[in-house]
Amino acid sequence: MNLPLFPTQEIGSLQKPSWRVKGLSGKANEQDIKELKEWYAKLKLHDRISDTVDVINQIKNEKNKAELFELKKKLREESQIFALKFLEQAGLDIIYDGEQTRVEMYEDPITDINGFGFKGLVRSFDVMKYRKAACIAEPLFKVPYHLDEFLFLKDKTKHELKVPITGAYTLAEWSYNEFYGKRDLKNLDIFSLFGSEKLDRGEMALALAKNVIRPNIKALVDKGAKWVQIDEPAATTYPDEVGLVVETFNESVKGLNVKASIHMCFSDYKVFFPAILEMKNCYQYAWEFANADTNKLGIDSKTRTGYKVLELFKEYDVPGIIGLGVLNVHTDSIEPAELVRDRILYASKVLGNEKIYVNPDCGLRTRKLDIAFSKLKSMAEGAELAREVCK
Amino acid sequence: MQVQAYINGILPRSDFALETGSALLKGRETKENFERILEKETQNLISIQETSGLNYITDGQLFWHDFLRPIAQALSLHSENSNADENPVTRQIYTNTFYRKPLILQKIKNPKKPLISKDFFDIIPKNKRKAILPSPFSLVYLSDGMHRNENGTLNEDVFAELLVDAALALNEEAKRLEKDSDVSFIQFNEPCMCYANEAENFFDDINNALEAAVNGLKAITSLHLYNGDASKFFPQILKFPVKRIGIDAYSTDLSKFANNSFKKFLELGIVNSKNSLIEEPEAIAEYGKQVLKKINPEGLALVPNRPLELVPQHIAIEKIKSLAKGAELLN
Repeated sequence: MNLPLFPTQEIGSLQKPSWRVKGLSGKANEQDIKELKEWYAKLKLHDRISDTVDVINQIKNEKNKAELFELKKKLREESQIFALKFLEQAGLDIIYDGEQTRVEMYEDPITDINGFGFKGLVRSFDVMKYRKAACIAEPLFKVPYHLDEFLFLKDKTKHELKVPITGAYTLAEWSYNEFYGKRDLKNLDIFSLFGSEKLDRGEMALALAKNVIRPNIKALVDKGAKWVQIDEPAATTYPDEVGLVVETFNESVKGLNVKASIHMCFSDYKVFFPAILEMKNCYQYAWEFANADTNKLGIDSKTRTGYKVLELFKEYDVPGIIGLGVLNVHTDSIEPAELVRDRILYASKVLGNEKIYVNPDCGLRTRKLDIAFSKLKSMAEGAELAREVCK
Repeated sequence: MQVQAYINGILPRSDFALETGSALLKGRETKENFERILEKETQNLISIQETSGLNYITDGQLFWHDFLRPIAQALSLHSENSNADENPVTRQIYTNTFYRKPLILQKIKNPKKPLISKDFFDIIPKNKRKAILPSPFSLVYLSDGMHRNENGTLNEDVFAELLVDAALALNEEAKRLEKDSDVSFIQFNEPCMCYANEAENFFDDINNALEAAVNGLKAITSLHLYNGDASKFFPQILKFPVKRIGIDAYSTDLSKFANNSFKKFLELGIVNSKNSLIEEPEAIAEYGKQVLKKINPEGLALVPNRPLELVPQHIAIEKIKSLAKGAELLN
C-alpha cells in the first residue's frame, strides 16, 4: 500500500467491546448485542453479525471445555477483526488489532515470560491501576507471545501492519526486582547500597532484551512481520538511565531485518537528548504531544506549547521520523480536524513534511469506542486537511 | 538515643479499592461506594500503623489522586473553565506513577480555605498526628505556567517569587493543621530537588521558601528528599530550617555523611518502596545500628525511602510492620 503524505497510524490499544468482554464470560445481554449490530453496520461488517451472535450465544450454553475454549478463541479473533476494520473505517493507513487479545501491555507479556511472579495491583494515576510482578529468576523466553495474533491478522487487511511489543526497559522498570536486587541488609556495608538499584535494573533490562524481546521479534519477523513498534513508556523514568533504554533497544533488534520504531509517552523527552543519537536504525519515534498542548488553532510556537521538543529533534538532526501525537487520549473531547491540521502543520514547519507520521498520543483503551472512533476519524480528516495545505 | 519509625507518604489503595476505582471509571460503580471503601481502608491503615508501634501516624492520604492534587485544586492551579483533575497527565520521574501537572497562570493566592479538604486526623491519637504536604519547590517546579519560558526553562525571577507564594500558602495550611487538627508533625515531601538540575541555582530561594513554610510552627518539621542523591547538597541541607532531614538510602551516597558530620536528625529511608521484598526487622535494625555508628546523626528515624504507594497494599503493610519492629529491636 502506498502511503500518503502524513500517514496516519494507531499506537496500540483500543477498548474491548462489551459484547467481547461479557461475551467471553457468557454474560452478554441484549444491549451488548444491539451495540454489536450497530457497530458492525457502521463498519460494513453486516455479513459477520449472525455468526458472531451465534458464537456469543453458544458460549452461554456450552458445557464441553474443549468446545468452549474454541468458541472463546473464535470470539477473541472476531474482536481482532472488529478492531482492524474499526481502524480502517476511521481512515488510518497503518493499523493493528487494538491489542484485543492482550490483557494489558505489561501483564500480558509478563505472564508469558519465565522468571516473574505477580504481586498485586498498584495505582498508576487517578483511579488507573496495573498488576505488578517481581522478577524472581533470570528472565527467559517461554513462548513467542504475539505470534498467534499476528498470524491471524496478516492476511486480513491490505493496510500495513505495525506490531506493538512492550520494550525490555519498561518491563524491567515496571517490575520489582527480587532476583538481581536481593541483598542482605544485615551484612551489608551501609555505603555500598548507593547506586545498587540502577545496576540491578540494568542487568534485568538487558537480560529481557536479549533473552525475551529479541527472540519474540525474531519469531514475528520470521513469519512475515515488517514493522515492530517497541513500546517504552518508562524510557525517561530515570533521566540518567536513558543510555540503558538505548542499549536495550539496540540489543532487542540486533541482527534482525525489521523496521523497528519506539513509542514513548508522558515523559520528559528532553532528557533523551543526546542519547537518542545512539539508537541504531530506529525508524520512528512515536511520542505524545497533544496532552500538553493548547486547544487553540494556530501554527506558531506560542500556540503549539505541547510540541516544543520538536525543536530539539531538529537541533540534534535525529535520523528517523516522528510519530506525532495529535490526540489527547485522556479526554473525551474530540479534537476538531482543523486543530489536528495545525498540529501537523506546525510539526512539518519545524521538521519538514517527510518527517511526520500522525497518531494519537498513546493507545486509546481508556476511551469508549464511539469517542475513540470520532477522535481517530477527526485525526484522519485533519491529516487530509494538512495534505491539502502542503500540496 | 531512641530510634523512631514512621511512614512518609501516600499509602497504597488495596486491590479491591483499585478494582472499584477502575469500575468507577467505566461507569460500573458509584463514587459514594468507592469513597466508602477508601474511608474503611483509611481506618484500617491508621490502626495498623498504631498497633505496629509507629511513633507518628498519617491518614495514608488514600483520597489523594496524586501528591499535589488537593493542593492544586484548592489553589486553583488549572486552566479557566476546567479543574485540576483535567491538567496534563505527567510522569513522576523515578516511578511508573503519574500526576496531573498543575498550571500556575497567575500569582499564587492563599484561598483562605483548607488546602486539604478531607482528612482523618480525628481518629489518630493526638500526640501522634502527622501531616504530609508537598515542599514549596516541588509544588512550583512540577507545575507548568508563568514561571516557565517558551522553551521550558525557568524564568528565575518569577520562579523565586512563586516559591515564596507557595510557601506562604503551605504555611497557612500547616498552621491550620496544628490549630484545628492538633497535628504535631508536619513533613514536606521533596521528590524533585535531587534530580532537578536547576535546584542548586535556587538553593537560597529554596531555603527562604522553607523558612516561610515553617514560620511560626510548633510542630516537628521535616523535609524528605527522595528520587536521587541528597548527598549532593551536603552539608548545606543541614542548614534547612526544618528539624529533620529525610533521605533515600538506596540513591544517596551515605559515605558523604560519615565521621559524625550529619549534625541533624536523620530520617533514614531504608525500607524500599520500589521492591516487593520485605526487609527483615533484624536486617533493618543492623543497618540502623551501622548508621548510628558510622554517621552518628543527632537523632534517627527509620522510614521508607519513598512513599509506600509504589507497592501493593498487602506488601506495604508488611513493610510497615518490619519498619516498626526494626526500630524496636534497635532500641
